Amino acid sequence: MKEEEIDDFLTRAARVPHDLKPETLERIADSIKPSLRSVSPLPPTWVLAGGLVLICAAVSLAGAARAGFFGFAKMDLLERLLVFPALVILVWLAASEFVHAMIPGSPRRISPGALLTFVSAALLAVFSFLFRDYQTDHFFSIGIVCLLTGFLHAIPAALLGWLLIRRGFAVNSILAGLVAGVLGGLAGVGMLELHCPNFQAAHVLVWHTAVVPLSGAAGALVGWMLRFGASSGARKRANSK
Amino acid sequence: MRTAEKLRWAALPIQQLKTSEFTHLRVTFGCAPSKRSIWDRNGSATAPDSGEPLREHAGTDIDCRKAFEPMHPDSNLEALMARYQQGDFGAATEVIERISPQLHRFFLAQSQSRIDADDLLQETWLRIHRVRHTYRTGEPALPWFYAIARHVRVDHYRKSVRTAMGERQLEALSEEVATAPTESDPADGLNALLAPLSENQREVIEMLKVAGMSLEEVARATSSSVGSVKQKVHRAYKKLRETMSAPGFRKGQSGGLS
Repeated sequence: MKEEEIDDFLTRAARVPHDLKPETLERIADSIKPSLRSVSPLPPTWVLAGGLVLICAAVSLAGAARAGFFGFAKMDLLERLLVFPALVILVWLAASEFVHAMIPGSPRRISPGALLTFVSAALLAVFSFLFRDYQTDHFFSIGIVCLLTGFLHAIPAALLGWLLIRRGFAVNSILAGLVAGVLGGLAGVGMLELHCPNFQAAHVLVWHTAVVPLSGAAGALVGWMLRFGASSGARKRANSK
Repeated sequence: MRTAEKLRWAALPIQQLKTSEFTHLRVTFGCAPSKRSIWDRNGSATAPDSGEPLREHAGTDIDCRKAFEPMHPDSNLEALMARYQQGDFGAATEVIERISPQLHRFFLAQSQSRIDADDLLQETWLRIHRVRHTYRTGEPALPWFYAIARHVRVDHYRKSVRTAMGERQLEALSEEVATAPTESDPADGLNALLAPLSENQREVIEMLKVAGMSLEEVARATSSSVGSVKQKVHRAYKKLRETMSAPGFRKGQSGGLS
């Protein structure tokens, strides 16, 4: 059987009229009528993404201002010119994807999993190119502090980002949470690059970069909990009726 | 092809088309309307000399009148959505009347019964109403509707699994649904035809064939890439070919397909 024949079968089957009771349509129309009022659509993607970038920058700068700009002061011009523009590009990419994840029917340029992989790989590439000190002094003790510091800055960035586009609607809260986590994680990495004066390659490659997957996983977990909570709430409401 | 372009083709009297545009139509639709053909008042293309339908005149199997129709019969859906966002009840009612049959069919192909599909439809409209501000004017509306409908369906599916049955029973059920035609609506030939397909494949075929969405629109609705949608369609067609080539398959068995 040829593809055209299957196509023809499907097209003809799809053309069979599908009856829907008029009462059903009336009931739906009546159910929305009481709350029908004018609503303002969401702003364009670039506006929301720009807002998210500003939030990430503000969180990073605020954190570094409080802790000190030791990393930025220690960096040479090339390091500054490579690290921060790369971060801005990655934050913009993650912000655009977060906006798309919060608007149903938006085009998806990159899947959340691929975004996490791409962001982590890009950071690893930039850091491995710039930092050539292969000593590993106090690898775990200092590393854990950096990881936690970055993660603690990722949380407010992701929360403020969510606050900015809370009017959106995530059709998949787990994936939206993952993207929000990646975005917040990048804010955390930004703060670490401004603050942390430890330029040992292993430290930066492992502990700074690890902030992104850790935040992404935390975001996905929050998304899963929200979805689970919503389902449980709906079930309880249904049972109480 | 972009929606605006499709609309332009559909609205343009055939006499006004340039030769280059005819070539474009031939390539796009795979049919060859004659430039001498006239567009009668009913909108059907006929050959001026013989009065025969353009389909025969052009010597192709594709009904060119259908080909000239916009891909979505709900061509001004985007405009209606904008009015709905402004609180116009008439526009909201029209959107409901236009979209509901498609969505209902979408749910019916996936769920167990018509009652379930009715419930899902109602739930979807409540959700659509609540998040109507997330629709952006100028963006295709169908992927937006279907993305929300999918979310509601998945949610409903998960809830019903948690309340009614355990994980093992779910697997058995999904297997049953995937292999046997649903008994919910015997008149619906499409459901029977799509029964052998997996849930994802059925969903994609539904969107492409029933809703008339393009591959890009399906990709938007399913939050996936065009490549992934193409792959699902390819696999679905492969499975359908196997089913339809089976000796037991009769062309007339799928409700009006003979």
